[in-house]
Amino acid sequence: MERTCRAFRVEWLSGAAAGLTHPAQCSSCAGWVLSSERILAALSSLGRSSAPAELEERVELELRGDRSRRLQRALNSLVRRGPPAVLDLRVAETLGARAAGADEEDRSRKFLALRALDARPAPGVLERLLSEELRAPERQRVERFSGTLERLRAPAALTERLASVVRRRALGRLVLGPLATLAAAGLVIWIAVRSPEPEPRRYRFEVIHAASLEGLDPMARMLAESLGGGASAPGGRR
Amino acid sequence: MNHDPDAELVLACQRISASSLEGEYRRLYDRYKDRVYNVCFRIAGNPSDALDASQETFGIVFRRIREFRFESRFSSWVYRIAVNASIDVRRRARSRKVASLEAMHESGPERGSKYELADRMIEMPSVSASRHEFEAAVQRAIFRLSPKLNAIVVLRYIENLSYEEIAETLRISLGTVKSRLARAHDALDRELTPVLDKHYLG
Repeated sequence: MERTCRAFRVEWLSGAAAGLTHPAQCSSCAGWVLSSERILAALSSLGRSSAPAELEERVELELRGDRSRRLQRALNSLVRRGPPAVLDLRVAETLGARAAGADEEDRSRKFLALRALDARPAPGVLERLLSEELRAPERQRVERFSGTLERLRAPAALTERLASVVRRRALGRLVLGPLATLAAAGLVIWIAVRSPEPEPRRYRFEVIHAASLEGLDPMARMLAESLGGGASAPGGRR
Repeated sequence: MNHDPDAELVLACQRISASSLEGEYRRLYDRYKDRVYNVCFRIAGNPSDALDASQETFGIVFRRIREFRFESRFSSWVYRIAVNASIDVRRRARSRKVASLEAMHESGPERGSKYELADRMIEMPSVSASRHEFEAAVQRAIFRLSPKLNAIVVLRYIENLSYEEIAETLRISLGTVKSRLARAHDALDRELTPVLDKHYLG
């Protein structure tokens, strides 16, 4: 195709070739324009579909964090690869070499028996494991990987530290315990020896002779007034 | 860059975390669900894979929306995620189908390329009606394109994005957009001419 033809076609597709007269001079491009118009009409005639209602449900689940369908999709996309054809040839060769001298029937029987080993049924537990995986993928992954973590042996330094702690505690029990008991007993004895017999308390009284109530101190005056029922109040007021 | 029509809604979504499809997230979902699904359907090639890719797209959009910095239009960002998710789903589906077909026809006669084997497995709905047959043929032709060309055709002719928007979405230059579209057109021309002839001639 010539360069002008290619340039014209690119321009025509972008809608910028309205004024170009190239098709009038080039029969190839004139045919191409007719064909292209049919193709564009066919493409634009394709119907537009509405998104199915199921999409909404799926997006809703996706937003809620349910990734089980996504996981299922990823698992489904895995391709189960069959053994390559060369494997059959090699097995046949191996059997043929080993069974040299044996008859053909025996060889084919062994060959079939060996092939049958390939098809092992999936264990029943696989279905349960898969359903658990789909139900809670994160949890299963954590359990799977944490189960494979290596168990570490305690370092020798830890044993040494523990031994020294035990030694210190034993020493404390042997020496500090009796010492504390002795100190407590000594304290009790010292308190008992030191404290003297309590002396009887002596009260002191003071006798004051007063000519009038005003000569008494205020407390004694109030007491005397209350005993006298107010008769001793100044002015003889009752 | 022009004002992003989604800016307010996206900012509102960025202020709250996405825990369910309510409020602003619901509005954003409603605004984009059909666009995302159609891109996924045209690239992935069938409703089941399109659903997977759409779910993946919205999951990523809602989880990562706080990281969006308005360096491009929000729609371009969403389209880019949808295109990548669809291509990823398509790649996985193809490898699965090719592997199963290889196993089935291991000793059979030569069947052509792996790509063609994968394409034959796709069944469009309602292929019995003529109209649907035609659509299915066009869809197959789009699907046979390489992922890069496929994405650009879908964005241009199904989603009607401008060249600038396509360039922004796919993070390629305008020149690359033009040359890829021209290549895609040539490939579609080869694929679709017999189909179109048959369709128009009855």
